Amino acid sequence: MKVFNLIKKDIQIFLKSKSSVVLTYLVPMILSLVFGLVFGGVGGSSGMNEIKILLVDGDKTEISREFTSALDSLPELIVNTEYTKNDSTYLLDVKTMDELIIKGKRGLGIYIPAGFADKLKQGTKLPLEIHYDPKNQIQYGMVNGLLQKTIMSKFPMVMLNGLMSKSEEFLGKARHEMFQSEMETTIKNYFPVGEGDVMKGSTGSLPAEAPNIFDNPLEIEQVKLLGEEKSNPMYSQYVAGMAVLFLLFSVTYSGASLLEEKNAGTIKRLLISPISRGQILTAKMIFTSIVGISQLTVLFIFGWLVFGLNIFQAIPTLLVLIVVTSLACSALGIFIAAICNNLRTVQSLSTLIILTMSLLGGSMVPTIVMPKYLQTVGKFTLNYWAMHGFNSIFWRNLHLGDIMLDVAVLFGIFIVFYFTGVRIFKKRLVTY
Amino acid sequence: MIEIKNVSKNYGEIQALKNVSFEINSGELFGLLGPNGAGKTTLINLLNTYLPLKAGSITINGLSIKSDVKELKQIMGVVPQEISLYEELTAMENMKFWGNNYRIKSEILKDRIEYYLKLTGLYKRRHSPVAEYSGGMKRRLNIASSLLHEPKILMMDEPTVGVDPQSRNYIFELIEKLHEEGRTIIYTTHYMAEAERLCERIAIIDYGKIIALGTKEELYKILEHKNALHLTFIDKIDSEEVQKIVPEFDIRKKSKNSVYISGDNLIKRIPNILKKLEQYKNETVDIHIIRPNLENVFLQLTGRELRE
Repeated sequence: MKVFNLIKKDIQIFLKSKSSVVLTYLVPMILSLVFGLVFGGVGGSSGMNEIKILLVDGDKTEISREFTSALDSLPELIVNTEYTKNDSTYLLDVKTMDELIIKGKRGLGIYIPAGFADKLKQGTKLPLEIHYDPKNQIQYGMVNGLLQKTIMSKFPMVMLNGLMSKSEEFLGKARHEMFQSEMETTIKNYFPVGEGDVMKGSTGSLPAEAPNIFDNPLEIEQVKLLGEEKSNPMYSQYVAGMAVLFLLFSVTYSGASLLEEKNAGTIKRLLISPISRGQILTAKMIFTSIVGISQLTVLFIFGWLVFGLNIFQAIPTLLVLIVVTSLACSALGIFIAAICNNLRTVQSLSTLIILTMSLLGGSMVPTIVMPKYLQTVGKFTLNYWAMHGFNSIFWRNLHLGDIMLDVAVLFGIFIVFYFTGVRIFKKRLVTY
Repeated sequence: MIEIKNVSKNYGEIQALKNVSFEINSGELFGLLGPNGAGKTTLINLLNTYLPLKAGSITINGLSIKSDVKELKQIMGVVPQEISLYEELTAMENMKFWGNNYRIKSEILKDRIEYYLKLTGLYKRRHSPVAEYSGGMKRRLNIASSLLHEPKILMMDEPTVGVDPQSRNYIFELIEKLHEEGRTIIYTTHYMAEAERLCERIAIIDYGKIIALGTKEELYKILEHKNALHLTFIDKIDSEEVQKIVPEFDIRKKSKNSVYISGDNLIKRIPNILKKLEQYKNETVDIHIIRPNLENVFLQLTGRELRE
């Protein structure tokens, strides 16, 4: 009976805060919806996303152009062979392609080397180079598969030679030639083809490098443009996502301490003393930002000590990004605290916002696995820009000039959330 | 001098203060007495600028509560009803924090912290976290931390709530000392005894209205009868039956087995009352004389007891 009474009391308290009740049930539903969308869409897969790739044709033959068009016609790929600079369009070269990949403008590029068409005519393995950022391993796998598919469907000769090679290997040269001859006779009996047309291109001696039918018909050279010099590439890739996720949690709760102070009565006493509401909120904002800055600094120093994270290659750039990221996260914390009535609501709402932003922004899973529209939505999250900035420093070794957009967006987020939060909080600080 | 003119305050549809007007003299220890929810804290919050004043006017030492907020905050000290301290910090750290909000020079602040911590008997425990303090100690620190800028006017909103008798006396002595130093003190309470002991003038407030104001002697004059008898019976009583036995006196039921009896020449007529009550079926077990007090003033003015 006493236990029942205790339970009843907790239920009564819980039900008193309508917003908490709603969020308690709404948060898991919304998060499961977001997880569902991220990992395959509601009611089934939404299909593969288009992958934007770069292509440099070093062969410059009819066949290489045909191959390029074949790739471009695939619904899964968007192939760019040109780039724009100062409102002018130029044909891509390998150097520019690599630069664009290093800067993260594209994840991957294909280089068709000279001699590609000759190899195709010979029916031997086709040489290709894939230049890519190892962060985009998933894209690499997808594109590799699409290249094979294109070769098989648009240039079947390569496959046919592979088949012949395997036949000769199994039957021996004499029996293989006999098999070919009989096959030619049989086809002529049933199909209206002229003399010499049957088995055209597959007669005579097979090329020495004819591919095995079960092998990849392509001879792909992987060119990893980034991360090769990293002592721990995996850590360098994922530290940004972790950092932003944890930062959001810690500064949100720091911001929520405003509500604790309001409940304890200290805010009231501060307002009675010669301190303005703006000063109280600015101080809280600066405090949460200091917490954020110190947290990120400690995490990155830890990464340097334990995992060899290169934090020294662009210290001023890193500091600028740490500051704007902390400001943006702190402002979000102030904003969440401003719109909530109690700490329980803050916890529920911040969990919802942080996990949703982290999912969509790429802190938890690479955005590349998400449907295209979610990738677009992800760009409206704080995580996306912070991660993009930190990855540019730790992974791509870029500098301040390259991450100005990230810095500007994060600063914009800070301005919007801080001033909106302050506006709301100013009205709500006084309990009438 | 504090002048309050035609002040009203609404919380939605609830009218917390209704056209309140009175004055508080400089150096006066002024009491605001009333039951919980009467409007005492609302009035204090208007005086200390926490709440915006929308109806009426308040001036303090010639400064307007609406336009001279910055100057007023420097001369006012407020001891809020809540214990508004940072429990994780020590008494010393709390004092420094609250003092620094008034931009007091560090050497002066250091001396004042020492002085007020000694005055409130907390100096020896100055380095202990406030979370380890008793309720009475927290209340004293709450007061001490509001004195650091040496305010001319001190507003104390029920500063003894939840305090043990020993700490309460300590606080009373502290308030009397602060008053002796020449400060104007506005003291809100719902304890009649506190107002009677401390305050030179008292305003009785009920349902947002000032229903009486004056020195306690002036307030006692409101009473029809100066003294009253409090009679307790062994069993439940019917006050109408008691009234029939002593029809020449006023009878007011106090509890299920006690009544107040009041009337002219009451003290002299006690033997007569007791003799008459012998015929009552219920035996009288206790009798004592009630001197004039604010509780009875409130009871007479409102028909209710202060604690109701």
